[in-house]
Amino acid sequence: MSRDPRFLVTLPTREERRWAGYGVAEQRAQLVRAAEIAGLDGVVAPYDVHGEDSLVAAADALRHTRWLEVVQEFHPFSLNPVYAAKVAASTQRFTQARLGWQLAVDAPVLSQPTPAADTPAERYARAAEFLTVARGVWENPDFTFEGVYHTVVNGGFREALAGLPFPRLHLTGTSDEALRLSAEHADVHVFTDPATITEGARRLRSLTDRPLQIALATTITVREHAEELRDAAPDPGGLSGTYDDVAGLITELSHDVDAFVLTAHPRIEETYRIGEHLLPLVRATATAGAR
Amino acid sequence: MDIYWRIGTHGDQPSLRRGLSSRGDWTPTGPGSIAPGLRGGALDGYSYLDHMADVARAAEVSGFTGGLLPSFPFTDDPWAATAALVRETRTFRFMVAFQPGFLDPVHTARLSASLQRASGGRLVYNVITGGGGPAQLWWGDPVAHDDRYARTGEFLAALRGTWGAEPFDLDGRFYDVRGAHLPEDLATQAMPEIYFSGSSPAAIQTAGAHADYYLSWLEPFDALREKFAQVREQSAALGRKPRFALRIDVLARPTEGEAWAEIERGWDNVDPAALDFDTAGDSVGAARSRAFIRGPVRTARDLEAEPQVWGGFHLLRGGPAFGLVGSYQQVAARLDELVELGADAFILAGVPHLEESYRVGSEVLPLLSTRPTAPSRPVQPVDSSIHHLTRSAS
Repeated sequence: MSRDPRFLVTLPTREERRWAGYGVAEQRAQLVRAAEIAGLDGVVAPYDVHGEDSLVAAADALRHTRWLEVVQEFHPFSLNPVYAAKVAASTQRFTQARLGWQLAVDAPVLSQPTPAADTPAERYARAAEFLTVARGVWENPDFTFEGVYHTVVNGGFREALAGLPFPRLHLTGTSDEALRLSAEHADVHVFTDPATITEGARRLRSLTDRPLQIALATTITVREHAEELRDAAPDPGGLSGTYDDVAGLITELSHDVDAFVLTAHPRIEETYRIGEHLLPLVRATATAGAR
Repeated sequence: MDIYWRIGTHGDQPSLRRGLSSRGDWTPTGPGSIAPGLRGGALDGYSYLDHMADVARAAEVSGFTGGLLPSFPFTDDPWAATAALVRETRTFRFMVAFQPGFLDPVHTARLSASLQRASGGRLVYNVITGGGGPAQLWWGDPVAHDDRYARTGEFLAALRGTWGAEPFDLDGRFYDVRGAHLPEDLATQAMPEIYFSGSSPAAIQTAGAHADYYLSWLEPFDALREKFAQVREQSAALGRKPRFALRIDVLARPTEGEAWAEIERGWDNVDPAALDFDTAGDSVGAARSRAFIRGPVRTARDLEAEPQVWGGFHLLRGGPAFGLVGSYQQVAARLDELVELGADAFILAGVPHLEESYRVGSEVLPLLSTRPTAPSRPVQPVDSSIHHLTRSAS
């Protein structure tokens, strides 16, 4: 790695804290402020079919920050790709191009436009059409496409909607279909298991020569002293340890990983902790290593 | 009476005198440009959204109920703008124009309920079924005109079905819905009111079943009377009593002479070739507008179909043809007549939107025999107080 990895935190979609008179939007807003002021690089607004909508969360987070990349995760069956791209183009215009996209292809939906895509193969075929069309209208002033799920004739963004950076595209999953879709379309592939991410990255890179970034989405528990960790009850599958331990782990992982999407509870306090105690160790190491 | 203003999603002109936009970045940014502008020769970091925020605040303090955000291929998107701006206003309602064909109904329900919660219930729909023609295919929508209305009907049925905590299924022609419902916290939000656009028989058939307001552009009054009667009749057959909203551009000045002088200044800069009304698309509304002007058009007043009802606005700025031109008293009187004729809500607009919202709010609205709806209590823009209000109300 010649560059510091990016650090993002995940926004809540449901009420997690009992603040009298305050709901999930306030929890989200305070976390976004924490991430911005503590020097993180971004936040992820997750798709949650049983929670609050991610466009509302992402637009609000972008409007009230200056620096953060805001990755909006959504399901590609929820809207037509031209429309999705158009909403994103306006958002890029409004926010100096800080919007990212993450598609939740494997996540459940309660509805979709006909014809329904039900099997994994159909779902990934539909997602591939979605991305072909979204990028097609974004990058070409005259774009035509006829697919099974989507049709565009003489489409394409013009005037103020043309020439904007396409949202940095994040895709997930470890199935063959998922990796093939990423090889074709993703800017960033997000893995969720620190133990197998190196192998996953190798499989993915064997499918394409495109420059593709790797992200790790994981829980994280860090404390100053080892004895404090026992009380913190870390998640066995995630990153945990003292500041020095985890900084070492992250530095090691950074050979394969370009971005870390972190979840730690309670979110706001832990975001401050990560910004003050962990990031300086990691970033100093990365900078020193690059010299 | 709910009286909305319009928030342009395609930039704005400083006046109707020249069709030149200097607000927003649909024209090159230079000296005098606003949002973005130049500072020390470099872009100042503001975007068109910042001007939209100014218009929303101007219309809010001027007494308007809210604002309509239109949606076309070349505009900014109303959902993106609304989601960004709800926390910057207090009572202002955001009327989001959208075509149901582009969105999944269950997704739309969750998106809308999340916005209702974030805004304290200030989201309103302008449901458009589509002007058709090349634009419809540009959007990625190959469905034909009457089928689009069938889809709109299915979409709205699925949206209503989803809006609750009980599972909803629909094995539809356009949507496949399985066990859809809203999360518990969102299911208690009110569903937005629906302003329904469309003038064709298929539109009236669909609107009658779903619309809270049947939205029409301004037309000569006899034509509106006839259209309202037709919708009432079709709605009565469905056991419903429709309400009507009119979208009206206004150019109001202290005297009628000053108002027409302003139109004349714009008229002097109109390209005579533009006098052919645009014929693209299968929009019945556009075709209707065209039919109201008879005889040759040589002067601006040749487009005055009846007193104060002028059909040339589309020549001076993008948008519908008809609007009201006159003194503050004349414009207010015509609006009052429209209320008598059956209008239950207005969406007004004027160029430039910021300055004209202050003017119309302070000079025209007070002359109406009806008042704009005043918020029953201030709704705070943040989620905190929304919860607070919900709890104290229950």
